[in-house]
Amino acid sequence: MAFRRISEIVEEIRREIRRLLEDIERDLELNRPMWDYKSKSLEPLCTIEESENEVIVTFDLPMVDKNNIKINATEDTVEIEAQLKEGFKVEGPRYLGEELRFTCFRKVLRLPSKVDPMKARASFRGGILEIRLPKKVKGYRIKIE
Amino acid sequence: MRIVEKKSLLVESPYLINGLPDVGLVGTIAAYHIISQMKMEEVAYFDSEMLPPVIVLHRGEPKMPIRVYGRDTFYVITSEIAIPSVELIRSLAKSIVDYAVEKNVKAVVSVGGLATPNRVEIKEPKVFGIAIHEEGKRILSEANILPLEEGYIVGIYAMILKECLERRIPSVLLLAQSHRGYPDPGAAASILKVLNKMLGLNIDVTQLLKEEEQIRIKLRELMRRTNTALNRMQKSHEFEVPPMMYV
Repeated sequence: MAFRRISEIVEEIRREIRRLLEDIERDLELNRPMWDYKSKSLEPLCTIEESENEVIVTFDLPMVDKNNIKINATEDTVEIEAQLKEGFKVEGPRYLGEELRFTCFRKVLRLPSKVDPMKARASFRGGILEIRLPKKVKGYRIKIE
Repeated sequence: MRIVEKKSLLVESPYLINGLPDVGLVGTIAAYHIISQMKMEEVAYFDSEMLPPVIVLHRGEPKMPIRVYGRDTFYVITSEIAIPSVELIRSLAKSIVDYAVEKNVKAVVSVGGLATPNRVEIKEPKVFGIAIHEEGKRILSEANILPLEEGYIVGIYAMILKECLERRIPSVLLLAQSHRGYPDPGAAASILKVLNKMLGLNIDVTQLLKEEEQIRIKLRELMRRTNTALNRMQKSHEFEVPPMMYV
């Protein structure tokens, strides 16, 4: 009984640490600007989902033409760079200069599982880029004896 | 939560429209568009010690982030920040309905997005509705809005519905099929077309659709903060089916 209680406490601490780390990660993400003044690039919004056999990544890329998107993938990352059809002018922070004009989207994304980049497929509809990357170690079906 | 009023509309029973940051920022985009097209004036703002210490500058003028605009027989409430905590959501919903009671509104009309996985394949998003009390149901049925019959609603609009239900205030929630995590001006345009029909507004969505791509870029930061806030309050509940089969 005492052993069980200790294991429960350990699990609870583990959960709490995980939650705190997630919060820290989220706060760090939120406190990072979504643009880079030096490279004149914008960070796009993105989503990552996992299915049994694939990692599915999407990027919101408005004002972008399909032919101006470059995608590079490794086992652990996806990197995109997309030129905007025209410069995107931002009103507001004058302390950064007379005119703030961005020319592209850029983002490197770390993937939650190892993938086979050679077999990845991509589509671009309505300004949303979807990349499907097959997982390197796929799930195995286990037979019940 | 404190309401600081600057002026009041001189009308008997206005409508109160809520366009707050939620799925696809549909409500926020719709609200901005109504405010700009109707050339509404700021009439009040909400303040609280729980809010992040933020003011917003527009044309050099400092403004509080959660504001009320008004013109003719319409009030519109919108926010330029994500509503970051459950406590704040409860408090804001209560204050919004307090304001509705004080203004003797005809109905509280909230607008937002309904996360739809195949949104990219949908040209013209459909709008679904939820109504409270007879007047709300009448408004919804006269506009031929498809009712949302089963499911969970999570977040600020759930709490506004709850407050309206408890205080017996006619209320309608309109939700357009929307991207889950990306700003969706197309969904906002669908909402505005329904509001035109439902409340006799005359909002032109041509400009909104023309500027769709620029709006999506401009709203990235607010969308990212809203996504984080929605994840924290278990927004994913909305993808689940309620367990009670007969109630």
